[in-house]
Amino acid sequence: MAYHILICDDEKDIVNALQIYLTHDDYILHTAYNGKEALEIIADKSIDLLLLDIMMPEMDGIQTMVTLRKNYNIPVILLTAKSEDSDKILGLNLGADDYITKPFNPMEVLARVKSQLRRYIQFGGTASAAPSVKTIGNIQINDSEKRVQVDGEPVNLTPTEYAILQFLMQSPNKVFTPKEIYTAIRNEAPYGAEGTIAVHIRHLREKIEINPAEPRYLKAVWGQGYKIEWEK
Amino acid sequence: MSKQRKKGVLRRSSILKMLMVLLYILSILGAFLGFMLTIEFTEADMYDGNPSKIYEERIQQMCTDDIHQVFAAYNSMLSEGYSTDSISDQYKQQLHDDFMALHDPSKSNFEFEISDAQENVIIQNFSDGEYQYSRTDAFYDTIFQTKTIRMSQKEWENYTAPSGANVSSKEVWVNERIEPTTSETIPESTETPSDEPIIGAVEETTYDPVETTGTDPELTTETENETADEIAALAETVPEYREVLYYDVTISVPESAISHYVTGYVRSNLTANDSYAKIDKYFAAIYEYRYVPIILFGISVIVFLISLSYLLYAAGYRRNQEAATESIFDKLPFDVFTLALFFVGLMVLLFMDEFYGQFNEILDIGIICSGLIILGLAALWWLVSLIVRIRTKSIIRNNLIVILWKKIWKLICNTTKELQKLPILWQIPAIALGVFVLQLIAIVMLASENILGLGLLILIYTVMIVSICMAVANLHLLEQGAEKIAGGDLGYKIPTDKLIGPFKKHGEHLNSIGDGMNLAVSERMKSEMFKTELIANVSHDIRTPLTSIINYTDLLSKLELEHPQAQEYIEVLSRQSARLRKLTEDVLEASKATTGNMKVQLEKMDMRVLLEQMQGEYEEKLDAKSLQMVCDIPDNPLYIMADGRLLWRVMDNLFANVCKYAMQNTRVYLDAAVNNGQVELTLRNISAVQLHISADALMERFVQGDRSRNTEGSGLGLSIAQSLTALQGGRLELNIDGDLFKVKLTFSECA
Repeated sequence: MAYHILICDDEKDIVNALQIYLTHDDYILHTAYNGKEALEIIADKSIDLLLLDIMMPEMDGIQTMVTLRKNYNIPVILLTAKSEDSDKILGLNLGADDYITKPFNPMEVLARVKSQLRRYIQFGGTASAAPSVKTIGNIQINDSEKRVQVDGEPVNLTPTEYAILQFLMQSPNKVFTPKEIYTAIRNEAPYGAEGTIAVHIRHLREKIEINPAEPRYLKAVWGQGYKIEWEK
Repeated sequence: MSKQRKKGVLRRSSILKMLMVLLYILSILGAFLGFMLTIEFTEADMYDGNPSKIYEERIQQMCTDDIHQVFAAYNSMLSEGYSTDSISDQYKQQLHDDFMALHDPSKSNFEFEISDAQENVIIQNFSDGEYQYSRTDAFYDTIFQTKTIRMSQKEWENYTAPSGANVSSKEVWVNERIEPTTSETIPESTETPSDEPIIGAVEETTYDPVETTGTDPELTTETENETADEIAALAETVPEYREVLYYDVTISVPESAISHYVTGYVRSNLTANDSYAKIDKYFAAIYEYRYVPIILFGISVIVFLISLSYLLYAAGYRRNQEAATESIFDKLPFDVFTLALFFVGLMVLLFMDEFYGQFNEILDIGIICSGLIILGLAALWWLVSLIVRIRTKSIIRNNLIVILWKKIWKLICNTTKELQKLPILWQIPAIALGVFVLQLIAIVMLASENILGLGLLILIYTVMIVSICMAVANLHLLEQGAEKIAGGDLGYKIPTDKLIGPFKKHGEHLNSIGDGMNLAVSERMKSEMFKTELIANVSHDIRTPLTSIINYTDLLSKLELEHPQAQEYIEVLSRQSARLRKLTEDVLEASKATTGNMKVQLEKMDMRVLLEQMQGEYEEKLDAKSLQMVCDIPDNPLYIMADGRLLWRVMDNLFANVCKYAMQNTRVYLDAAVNNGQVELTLRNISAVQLHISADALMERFVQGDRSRNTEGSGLGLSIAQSLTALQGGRLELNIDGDLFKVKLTFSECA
């Protein structure tokens, strides 16, 4: 099944580049060059995902998204040159599902598009209610099978990584020091060995995050420890 | 507009003004007259509705006078009548008639009767009628019968006076013709002046000289008219004249002691047109018009007020002049003017006091009136001048005292100013000299037992102590202010209103230094903020084309290009665009960090945990360059207050630098320690390239250790790290010792 993706940006070159990247994956692409056009196309065709630039003439991305959210539930990924934290928070709060800053890595865009589509189409918010399965965002951990899926795809983790992830996912948003994590997963005091936790965390992040430099879930609280961040 | 014009004309009309001055004077006179008359009439009980007391008194007085007259006349008639037997009855009748005629009922309203002690009416002139006034006076008198008899010497010597009689004699020399037979001695020294006393004596002693010296009036008149030469000639030719001594003897015989009663009446209906009737008419008229003085007074007061108001209203306004202007006299100093007018008034009063009552009543009235006019005009002049001065606002300014005071004050000010122009180095000795001189004066005064010297001394010391206290207080204020400004509180203002003299100036200077610096700092801040904003906007704008460049370079790299060097060029494009991307991020970061335009949330955190996390993050990168990390970190936690995110960026930059610039296969030393409450973190590595640059220069923006600048860095890393550290209250120091590159981070330890 091919997904309909709408790319909306006032820069034609960027729209073209994204088209080139996304065509590889058998998506059906639509383009728009401002918010109004985007809304018209969405009303006309059944669009599965919207890549939306913020700074556009006529109707900007934020306005477009606010209007869109009144009637549609499709995933929206914001593309913007604004890199401030406050901009990101504003975008996410107003209904964006993800956020990519320019200049972006095409692979990252692809990964995020894929991730959003899977979450939206395949799970459709109907996560299985098995008690041993815990889902945070697009990470699903099945404790009975000791398996982890990200965007529905299995991920291979080492036992230590799995233990850390499982421990952190038990209490989302809580910050644990490396020492606590070590003690929890090994059942023994670290005696200076907690420094290894940082390495494991990094590996884990590379495996479950789309962009490890800007992690979405597994975050370091510098000088304190680590946490799984989950807002919804 | 026309009304205003009319108003202006009204107060500028000189004719009206003159008229009003006239009215003013008249009203003063009228008020004076009315007032005086009113008082007079009040005293006369005119307003009680009764006949006037004064009128009654006047009638009484006149009546009494008349009674006395009557008596006097009667008395004289009586003495005439009884004095000489020679007077005929006809003459007596004549006298009586004359006397009666004086009091003719048709000519006089005064009627009288004279009665003796036995109340027998002797004389009366009654007509029928009512009497409005009557009065009886009793007169007691001893009536003398007096006669003068000329006696010869012999007769006088033989004369015996009747009993009880008063006898007086006088020698009288009379020239007598002598028969030629008897001429023996003729006195040559006969003097004519001796004749005059003869006549005089005769006149004095006798009632009628003509009668008594009836025998020889011709002789005396003759001798009187003759000159001495003629007498001498006469004596030669007519020697039979000589002087003979006679005696004029006056004999007064008391005839009887009589008492008479004179009763005077004033007729009620005043038929005769005499002084009674006149007085009555006069009073009746006055009584009828008794309210006139009050009305006159009232009208005069009203006119006075009106004229005065007008004159004051118009004071100072002249034809063809817009505002009130001063006359020559108004330009005189006010106090001088006032004193001059006061002096004039005083002179007038003295003049009036001097001459009032000296002459007749008409002159008195003239004196009072002229005095009133002059005083009134003087008062008016003064008032007008006062108003003009108020209008021209010169009332206070134009006073001799004020002018003098201003001159003196200016002199004092100038002196003080001159003194202030002197440098403070000279001011103090000048003041000290002044104090010394004053003290000397005081001591001299005290030595001469002048108690004022003590007062002066106390004054000097009081002023001195107060001045010193003030100076010290001022100095203290300045000191405080300077300390605050020096301490960085550039907005602090020394309260210069509390300072005096040179201290004030100094305070103002300090304040303006603070102001200037404050302004410079805020200007700087403003321009930095502006720069940051500009950089943020530019970096956003760069990102959009950069996205296309990066993406299309990537797309290009995936194409199969025939030229052998195509891939190499694409590689360069890719690398440089990545660098550009990093650069835009770093520039924004650096500008925000240096201007402090960044939120900082300080939290308590453990440096050890951060270091563990950092090592975890960089483990692979370090391994990739075969760098061995050697750590010396204490076991106990190193708590500091920092913003984890920012501190991570600092560490990220430092570690990234190590990865980029450290020589391969060397050791990197990471030490952490607590020193004097400071957490110190030291990162040391050996630089891969030779560092031709000082530590300070390396910290500058866009400076990189190797001159080629072809590595991936932006040259901003260390600068950003330093700024971010400073934002969190920490310190970042660089040290370059040959190839040894050393970074030291210092934070205060947090308990």
